[in-house]
Amino acid sequence: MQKLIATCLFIAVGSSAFAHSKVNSTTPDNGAIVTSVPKTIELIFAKKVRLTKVTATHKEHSNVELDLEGQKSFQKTATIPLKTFGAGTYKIEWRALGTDGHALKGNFSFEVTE
Amino acid sequence: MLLDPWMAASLIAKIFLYLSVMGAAGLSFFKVVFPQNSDLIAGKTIIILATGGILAAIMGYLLRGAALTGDMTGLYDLEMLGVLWETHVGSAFLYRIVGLLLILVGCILMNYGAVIAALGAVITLWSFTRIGHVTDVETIYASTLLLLHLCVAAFWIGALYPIYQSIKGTLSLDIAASLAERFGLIASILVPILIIAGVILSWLLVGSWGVLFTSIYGRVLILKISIVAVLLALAAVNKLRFVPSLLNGSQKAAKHLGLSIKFEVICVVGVLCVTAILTSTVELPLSH
Repeated sequence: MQKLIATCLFIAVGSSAFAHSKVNSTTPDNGAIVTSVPKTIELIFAKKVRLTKVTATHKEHSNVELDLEGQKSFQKTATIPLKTFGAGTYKIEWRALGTDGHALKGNFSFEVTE
Repeated sequence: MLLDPWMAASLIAKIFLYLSVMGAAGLSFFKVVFPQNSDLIAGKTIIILATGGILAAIMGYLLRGAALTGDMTGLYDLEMLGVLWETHVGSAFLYRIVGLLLILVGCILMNYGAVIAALGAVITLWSFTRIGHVTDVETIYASTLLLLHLCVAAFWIGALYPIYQSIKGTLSLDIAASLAERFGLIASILVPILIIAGVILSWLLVGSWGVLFTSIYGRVLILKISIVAVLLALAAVNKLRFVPSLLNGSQKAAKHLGLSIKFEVICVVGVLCVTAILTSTVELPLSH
């Protein structure tokens, strides 16, 4: 009974567990520290998805949309060119559509030390 | 972290969709099964519900577009809406609109209108088998089971309103008692089918008893099953106690039956809300 009530509250408030994030891995890894800004970022999903929006946030650059020109189909791996903003923390946020029709979202971040 | 606002809005639209569709479909089925009691349903009730369903379906589709972009541009972004159209979302939307329009047409036509509306109801409910977790289950009969489950659920939900009207109206208790008794007889055959279909579908989606209790999906499913259990208990009390008393002309039984139906409606709303959560925001515990 306590678990049921906890579930109700969990649903009412919401949780990152409901974000439907199904990423197997990213390059760079989430939380990684790298010595130079990568030219591309990579996301590998558990199932085929169609990426619909990817943004990068870095210091004064907030939610800069990345080019998804090569991401017009459902696929498990997405390689996206990354804009260079120099050293610092990059936060990547993505949205996608699953083949089951569910909207997906997630994020990861990494730090560049130059 | 709170639920994404666009996903939350999609969830609310889905709840309204479920309420409208189950109401419109259920009342359409009632008119076919109990034609002699069709006058208990006000003509515009099904029209309002079906129209509400169409609006909810459209809003839900547009909100999915917004969920893909994370802002309101997705509501009218033709590329995003086009991407959705190419997936199960598009086909489900099409079935839904066609089915609900057929229900509306059936409400307007005099001859065969009830049959056309019922056909529209089946098509609308079929739309829910074209999208979501059930499409992950690679078995032929999963969609058929879900359709059966939804048709019986809609019939049960739809019958609550006219039965309540028969008790509260100026009709004699005989009519109310006769309708409640006939509904009870049919329900005693259909409800076990609803339960069996639901159990099989749950097994196909969850996969194991252990995962049922350890995964978020499993726990939300348990919550849904718990509310359904309350519904079944209310239905059993209606059938075994209140309806027999009603058949004997008891006014008190009519009052109790009316109260029981009100509680059933609350439970139905709860089941549909939890189902919307299950089908929108919670992942399946296993990959299929």
